Amino acid sequence: MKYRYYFLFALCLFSVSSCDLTKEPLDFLDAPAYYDTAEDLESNLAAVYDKLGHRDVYGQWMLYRMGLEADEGYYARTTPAFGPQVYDFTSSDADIFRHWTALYTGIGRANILLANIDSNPEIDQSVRDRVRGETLFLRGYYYFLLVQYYGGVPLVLEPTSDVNDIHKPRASAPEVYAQILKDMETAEGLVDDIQTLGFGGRVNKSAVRGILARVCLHMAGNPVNDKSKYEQARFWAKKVIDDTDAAHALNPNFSQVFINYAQDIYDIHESIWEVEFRGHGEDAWTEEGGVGYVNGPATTNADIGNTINGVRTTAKLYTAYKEGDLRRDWTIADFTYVNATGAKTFATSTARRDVYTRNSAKYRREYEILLPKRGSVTPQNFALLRFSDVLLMFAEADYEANGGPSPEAIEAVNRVRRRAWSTGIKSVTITNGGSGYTAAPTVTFEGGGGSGAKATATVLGGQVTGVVFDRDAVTGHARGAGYTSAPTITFTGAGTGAMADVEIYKKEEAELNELEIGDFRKTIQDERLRELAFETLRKTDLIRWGIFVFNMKRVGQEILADIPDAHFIRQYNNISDKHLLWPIPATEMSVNRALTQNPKW
Amino acid sequence: MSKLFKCMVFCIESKHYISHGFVKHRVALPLVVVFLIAGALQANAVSAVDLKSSAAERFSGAKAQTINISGKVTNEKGEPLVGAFVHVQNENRRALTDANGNYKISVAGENSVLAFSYVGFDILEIKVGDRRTIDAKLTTRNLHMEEVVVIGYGTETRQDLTGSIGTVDMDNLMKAPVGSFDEALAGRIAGVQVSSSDGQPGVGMDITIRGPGSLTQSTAPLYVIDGFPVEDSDNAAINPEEIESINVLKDASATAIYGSRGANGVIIIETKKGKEGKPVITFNSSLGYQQTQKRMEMMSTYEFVKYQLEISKLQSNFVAGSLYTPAELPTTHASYDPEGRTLEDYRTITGTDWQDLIFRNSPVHISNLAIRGGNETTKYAVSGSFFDQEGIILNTGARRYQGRATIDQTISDKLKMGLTANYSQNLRHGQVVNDAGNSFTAYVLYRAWAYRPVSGNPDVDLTEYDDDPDNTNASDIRINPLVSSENEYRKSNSTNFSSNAYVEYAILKNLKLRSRVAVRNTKNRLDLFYNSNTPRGSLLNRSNNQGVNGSFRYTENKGWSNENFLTYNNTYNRYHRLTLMGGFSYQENKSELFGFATQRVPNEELAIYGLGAGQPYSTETGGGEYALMSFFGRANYNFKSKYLLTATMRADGSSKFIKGNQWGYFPSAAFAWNMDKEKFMKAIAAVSSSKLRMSYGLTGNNRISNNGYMPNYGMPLAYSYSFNNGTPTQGIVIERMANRDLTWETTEQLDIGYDLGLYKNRIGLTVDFYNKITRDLLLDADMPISSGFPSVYKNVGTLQNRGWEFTLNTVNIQSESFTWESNFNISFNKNKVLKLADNQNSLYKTMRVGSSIPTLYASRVGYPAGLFYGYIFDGIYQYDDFDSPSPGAYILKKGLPDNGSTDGVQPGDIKYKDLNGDGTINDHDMTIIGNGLPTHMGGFSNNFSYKGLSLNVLLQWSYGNQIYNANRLIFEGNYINMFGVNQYASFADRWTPENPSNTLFKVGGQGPAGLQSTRVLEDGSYLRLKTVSLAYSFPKRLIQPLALTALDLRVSAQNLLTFTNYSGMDPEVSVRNSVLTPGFDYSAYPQARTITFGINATF
Repeated sequence: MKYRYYFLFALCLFSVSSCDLTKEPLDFLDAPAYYDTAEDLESNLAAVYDKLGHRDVYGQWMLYRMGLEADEGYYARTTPAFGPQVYDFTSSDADIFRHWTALYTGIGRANILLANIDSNPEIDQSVRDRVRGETLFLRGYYYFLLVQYYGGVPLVLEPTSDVNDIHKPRASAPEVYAQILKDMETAEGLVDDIQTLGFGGRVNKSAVRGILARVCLHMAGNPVNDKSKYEQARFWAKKVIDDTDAAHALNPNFSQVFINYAQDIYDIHESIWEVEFRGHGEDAWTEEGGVGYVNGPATTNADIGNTINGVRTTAKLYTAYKEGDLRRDWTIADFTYVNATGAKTFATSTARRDVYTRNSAKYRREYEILLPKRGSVTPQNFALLRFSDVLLMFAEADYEANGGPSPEAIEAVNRVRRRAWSTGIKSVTITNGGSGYTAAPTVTFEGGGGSGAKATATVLGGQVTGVVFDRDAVTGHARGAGYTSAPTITFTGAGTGAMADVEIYKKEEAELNELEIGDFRKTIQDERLRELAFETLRKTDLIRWGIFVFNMKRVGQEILADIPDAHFIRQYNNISDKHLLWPIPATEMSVNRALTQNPKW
Repeated sequence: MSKLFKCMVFCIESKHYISHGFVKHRVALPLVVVFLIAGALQANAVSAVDLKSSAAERFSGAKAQTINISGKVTNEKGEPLVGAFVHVQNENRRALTDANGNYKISVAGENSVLAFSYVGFDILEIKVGDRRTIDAKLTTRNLHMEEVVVIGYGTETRQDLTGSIGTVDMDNLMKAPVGSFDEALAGRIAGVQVSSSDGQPGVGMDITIRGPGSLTQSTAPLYVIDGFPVEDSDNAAINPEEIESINVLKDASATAIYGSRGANGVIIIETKKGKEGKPVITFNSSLGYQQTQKRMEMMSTYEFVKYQLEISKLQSNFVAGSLYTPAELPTTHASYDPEGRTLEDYRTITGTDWQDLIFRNSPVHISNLAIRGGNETTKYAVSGSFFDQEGIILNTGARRYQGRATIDQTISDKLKMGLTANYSQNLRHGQVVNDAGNSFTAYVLYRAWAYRPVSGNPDVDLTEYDDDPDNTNASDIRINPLVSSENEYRKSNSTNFSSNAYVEYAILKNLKLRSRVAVRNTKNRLDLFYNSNTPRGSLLNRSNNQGVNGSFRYTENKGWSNENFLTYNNTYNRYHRLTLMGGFSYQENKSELFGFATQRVPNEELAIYGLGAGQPYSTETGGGEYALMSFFGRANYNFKSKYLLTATMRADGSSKFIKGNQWGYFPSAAFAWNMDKEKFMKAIAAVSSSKLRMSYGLTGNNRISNNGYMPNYGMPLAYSYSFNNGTPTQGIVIERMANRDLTWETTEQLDIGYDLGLYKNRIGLTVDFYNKITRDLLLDADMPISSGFPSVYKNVGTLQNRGWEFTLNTVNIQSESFTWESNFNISFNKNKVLKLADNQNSLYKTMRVGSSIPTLYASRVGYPAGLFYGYIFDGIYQYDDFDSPSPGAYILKKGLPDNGSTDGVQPGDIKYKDLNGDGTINDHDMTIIGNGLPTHMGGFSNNFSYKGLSLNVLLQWSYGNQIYNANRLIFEGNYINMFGVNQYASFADRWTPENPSNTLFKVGGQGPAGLQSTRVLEDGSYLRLKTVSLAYSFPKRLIQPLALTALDLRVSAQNLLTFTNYSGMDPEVSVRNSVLTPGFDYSAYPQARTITFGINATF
C-alpha cells in the first residue's frame, strides 16, 4: 500500500521537476544583441537623435508654446490660458515637465549607448568613434538646453542601473557647462565633416564648432559670467568661418534659406545643422514635425497647408527692420490667407497697433512640394545652426574678447546685413507729371541688370503723381531684385509725358554706420533679433545679455501704449526675475528629494 | 454600532475558552506545525501515513453484556423516524429503528451512552443511567450549517469553516436576466464590490473584494473554475445557467492556499455536473427588451437658438452657422432679412431629438438547453446556450454561443475519473460608446447631445445630411450622429476553449489523491474599420491624417496546468478530526499578439476586407510566456466541531522574477470556535449557532508583465530618425527599465468574524472585521526623469484596506403557503495609502477632457487612493462683487479674488475659492475635492413565495462616492464656446442680468479653460432596484400529463428603478476605472433597464 503511494508521489514529482521557471521573453532579446553590429549602433544613435524632433522639443512645443520668442513675438492663441508661453505657470506645469522629460530621455539613451558602444570590439573602430562623437555631442546639446532653461541640473553620465539610486543633487551651472564642453570638444575630433556628409541633418564638425561657440557665449554671459569664454567662442566661430573645406557661406537670398527647408533641400553652406523632419504621414513612419504648421502664417486652406499660427510679431520686431531689409516681410507676413481659396489679402496698415496681428512667417507651408499636404504635420526641417548665426557669434565674441569692434567683426556683421539687403528699386521720383492721363498708365522698368519690379502709377488731375509698387508676399513690395544700376522707368498709354527718376537700394546702405559701430553690443543684439527671429534663440540670448526682464517689461509698456486692452499684454506684464529660469518640475522634485528649486518658484 | 462593540467585548472575554481549548488538545498544535512544513516541503507528506497508525483501533469496546434498552425515536413533532441509527458509545453495538421508530439494544452498564442519529437530524447522546426505556426526540439539523462550501482544494461544511467565505445564492442570482453571472453579483455578498465602467454590452464587470489592494496593478480577484486558477477570467464565456455554486474567499485563511494570486480574493466557481438518475432535460428561454433608464433633457429649439444668439454676441461678427434669425440682425448686415425667422418663431419649431435616434429599445434573448443524468458509475451533463443582446444604443450588442460536456466515471471503488470541456464564442459588435481616444468630440454620446436640434435654414432638415452643412469646417467635424453610429464597424470575436480532466484515487480509505490537468485557449480577433462616414475616417476631419482606415488584431492566450494533491482525513478518539492536504501544481501560459493597420483604404465598400489595399502604417507583434510552480498544504484540526484550527502554506515560484527572487511563501492560520457547542451556550435556547473566527495570513499579487525584471528593448517606429530625408533609421530603445530586484507583493490580512444563528437559524448574522495591509506594492513607481526613465516596476509602497462587513439572513415569515426570506448585507471599507515610492507624498493622475489634460486625481500618503483633486467652485460673480465706475463697466472690488481668467472678471463669470489668498486662481489653489470610492455599499434581497408564486426583489446601493460628471463641462456651460453645440436643458437657467444664478455661469463666463472643479463633482450615491423577478411554478398535477416535472413562467427585470441625486444618465459609472482614477463619467454607455419574460421547463 505504502509503496504505491510513494510511487505515485514520485511520479508526480518527476513530472514537475521537468518543468522550470526560466522563461525568456518572446518579443525582445537580451541586451548584447542590440549592440552587435554597426547597424545596431546606428539604430541606437537614431534613438538619441529622435528626441531632437520630439514634439516637446523642436517637433512643436519649442516653436511656439514655451515663450522662447520672448520680445520678438507673442503667443497668439488664447488657450491654454496658463503655461510658459504666457509666463503664467507653476512648477507643476505640464509643458515644462514634458520638455525636461524629452531631454533627459535623450540623455538616458545616450548614456546607455555610450556604455555599450564597445561591447562588440569587432565593429570598425572608426564607426564606433563617429557614433561615440555624435552621441557625446547630442548628450552635450541636451544638457545645454537643460542648463539654459532650468539652470544647474543633475549630471547623469552613466546608465541608471539601480532603481533606488534616485536622489541626485543638482550640479551647478558651471559644472554642467564644463561637462558640455568636455563632451562637445571630444566629439569635435570624432564626427565627420559636413562636406563628407553632404547634408546638415547629422552632427558634423562645423555643427559641433558652431554650437561650441554658442555654448561658450552662454558661459560668458549670465548667469555663469565666465568672461574668458568669449575668447573661446571667438575661436570656435572663427574655425567655422575659416574652414575652407567646409566652405560655409551665406545663401545670397534670405528667403531661399527657408524655402529650402520647406522643399527638403539641403544648403550646407548656410545651414550647418538641422533637425530632420521627413514625410507627410503617407507611410508608417512618424518623422514629420510641426515646423510651419504651428508657426507659419495661419490658414485652413488645404492647398497652402493647414497652419494654426501660434506666434505673432511684436511691433518691436517689426520696427527693428529698416526699409530695404528683406528679412522683415519674410519673417513677418504682410498678408493673410483667404481660407477658402488660399489667396492672399495684403495688410494695408503698418500702424504699430495693426502690426501685432501679423503672423510669424519664416516657415511657409505654401512652398512645400511633398503632396498631399497633411493637416497637422510637415516635412520641413528646422535650423539649429545657420552660418549667419556663426558670423554674428564671431562678431560678438570678438568684440567682447577684444573690448572693441575689430574690422573682422564689423565685416562679419556686414556680411549678414548685406545678404539681407534689397537689390530692388528704392524709390521713384516723378520729375514730370505729364498731361492728359485719363487712367493710370502702364509702368515698366527696363535695364539696370535686375528684374521683377512691378508698380502702378497714381494719377491726379491728368498727371502722374507717383507710383505704387505691387504687393509681394516675400519682399513686401515688388521692387524687383538684382539691380546694379538704376533702371529706366516708362509710362505707357492713357496720356503723355510722364517721366521719373529711379533710385535703387545699394549694398553699402546695409553696412554698419558709425553710430552702430559705436554701440556695437547693442548692434549685435538687434542684428540677432532681425536675423534669427522665431528660431528659438531669443529668450536665452536676452538672458545671457542680462536684459531679458527689462526688454520684456519694455515691450509690455509698448503694447500698453499701442493696444491698451490687448489680451497678450499679460505675457509681458507677468514677467519677473524668476522667469530667468523655469522651475524644476514639481513631479521631479517629489521623486528626487535631493533637488532644490530655482529661486522664487 | 453598540451591538457591534458588545460583540467585540464578548470576543475578548472568550479568550479564556480559546486557550482552554488549546491546552486541552495540546497534541493538535505540533501536528499543525509538522504539516505546515510537510505541505511546503512536499517530500514529508508520507508522514500523513504514519499518523493514521493511532487511528486504526478506535473501536475498543468492552464485552460484558448486561442491560437491555428499548425505546422510540421520533422527530420534533413526535412522528417516528424509521431506520434511525442507535449506537452505544465505546461499545461495538448498534441498532436500527423499525417501521414504527422502535429499537432494542443492549448496553454494558448504566454508564453507557447511547447515540441516536438520523440523516438530517442532530446527533443526540443520552446516558443510560437507571432507565430501561429511552425515547429519543431528534431535532432537525441546522441545514445551513451543514451546507457544503467549496474552498480551495477541497470542501468544508459551513459549520466547520474557519475562514471568511461568502456564498452566492445561485437560485436568487439566476433570477436576474443577464448574460454573465458577474452582472448579477452586485449587492449579493458583503465586501464584494461589483461595478461596471459603463453599460456597454459584453463589457465585463470590475470586481473588487475588500477594497483595492494594489495601486497600479490589477485588483481583480483570482477565479478558480472547477478547481483551476484563472487569472484573467473571461466571465462572459461562462454560462451562468451552468454554474452550480459561487463562493467568494475573502480572508487570508481562505485565500492563502492560492498564495501569490490570492491577495485580491478568490472567486470559486463550480459548474454543474451530471446527477444520478433518469436523464433530466431542462430548457429555459427568456425573451425581453432593454431600454434606457433615463435620457438627458436637452434644450428646446427656442432655448437653443436663444443660446446661440448669445454666443454670437460674444464674437464681433456673426459666424455663418450661427445665423438663426436674420430678422434680428442690424439692418446693415448682409444677411438681414425682414421676413426671416425671429427668435420667437422657434418656440413653435420642433427640432430633432438626436437621443431618440441613437437610443432604442432593444431585444435580449437567452436560451439554455441541458441534459443531465447518469447512473451509479457514470454521470454526464451536456448543455448549450445562446445569448443575444442588442444594445440600447444603435449599433452595439453582444452575442454568445456556448456548449459544454462533462462526464464523471467511477471505475472502481478507488478510482474515479472525469472530463469537462467548454467552448464558447463571444461576439461583441458595434461601436464602443466610450472609446474615441483623445478627441472629446468623437464620442458617441457627445455627438448625439451636441448635434444641434435645428438649422437656421427652414429648408434644411438636419437628419437628411451626413454632416452638419453649416458647422463642418476645417477645424470642426460634425457628422450626423445617426450616420456615424451606423457606420462604425467594430467586431470583437473571442473564442474560448477550456477542458479539464481529473483522476481521483483512494489510496487508502481516508487518503485520496486527486490529480488534474487543464488546458485553456482563448483567441480574440478584433476588426476595426472607419469609413468616410465616421469621424475617424472622414476626410472632413482635419486631424484625420489617415483617411479611411482600419485595423486587424489577433491575440491568443493559451495555458495548461497540472495540479496534484493528497487529502488525508481521519478522526482520532472520536472527537479529533484531522484533515491534511498537500500538493503541488505547475502552470504555463503563453500569449501572442499579431496585428496590422492600414490607412487611406481605397475601396471602403469592402470594409474590413479592403484593408489589404490600404497603406500599412502600423504592424505589431508580441508574445510572452510565464510559468508558475507551487507547493501547497493545509492542515485542519477539528475538535467536536467546537474548536477548529486551520493552517495553510503555499510556496509559489514564478518565472516572472529573476532567479533568487522567484519563490514566495504565503502562510496563514485560523481559529474558529463554535461557541454554541459549549454548555453555557446550549442553555440559551434562542441561539442555534454562534461562532467566532479569527485568521491571519499572507497572500500575494503577481499581476505584472512576464519579464519585468529585464530591460525591455524595443524598436518602435516612432523612435526613429531620418537622415538626409531618407528612410528613417529605426531607433533602439529600452522601453522599460529593468529592476532585477523585483519580487512578490505581499498582503497581510487579519480577519475577525462572528457568526450568530438565532431561532434555528431563522436569523443568521455574520460580522467580519478585516485589516488588510499590502506591502512591497508592485508599483509602477515614478522615477526621476533624470534617470532616463519615467517609471519602473518597484516593490515599494504600502496600502491599507480596513473594513467591516455585516450580513443578515432572516426567514421573516414561514408558513405552509407563504414564506418571506431576506438577506441584507452592508460593507464598509476604508482605503488608505500608507507609503508611496521612496518618500513620495502624492501620485497624481491626469484626465483628458477636451484638449486639456489637467490633473484630476491625487493619491496621497495618509489618504485613500484616487481622490479627486482640483479647484473649489465658489458660485458665480454677482453685481455686488463689483464697483461700477461707469454704466456697463465693472471692476472687481478690492480684496476679492479673480478666477485666473486672462481677460478679467465680469458679473456672471464662474468663481473659484482662492485657497492661498493670493487674489487669483492658479494651481496653488488646487486641493482634494472628493472621493470616488463609497463609504458603504450593500444589498437587500427579499424572496417571497406563495404557493406556486415567487417574487425576488434585490435592492442594491452604493453610498458616499462621488462622480466627476465631465459631460457637464461641455453640456452645462460649453467651456469652449463652440457654436452649434446643444446644451442640457438645465443650462437654460444660466446667469443673466435678470436671473442672477449662483450655480450656472453666463454664456462665455466659464473662466480659464481646463480647470477641474467641484462644480461638476456630484454625489454618486444610489439605491437601485437591481433585480425583480416574479415566477409562477405550475402545480405538478397540471404538468405531469405533459411529461414535465417542472414548469415555471417568469417575468424578470434588471435595473428597474434607481434612486439617486446624480444628474447624469446613470450613477454606476467609471469610464476610466482604475484604483487611481475612479468615478469619472464622460459619454458613458448607460446601464440598461432590462425586462424579460421567460419559461423554464424540466422534463
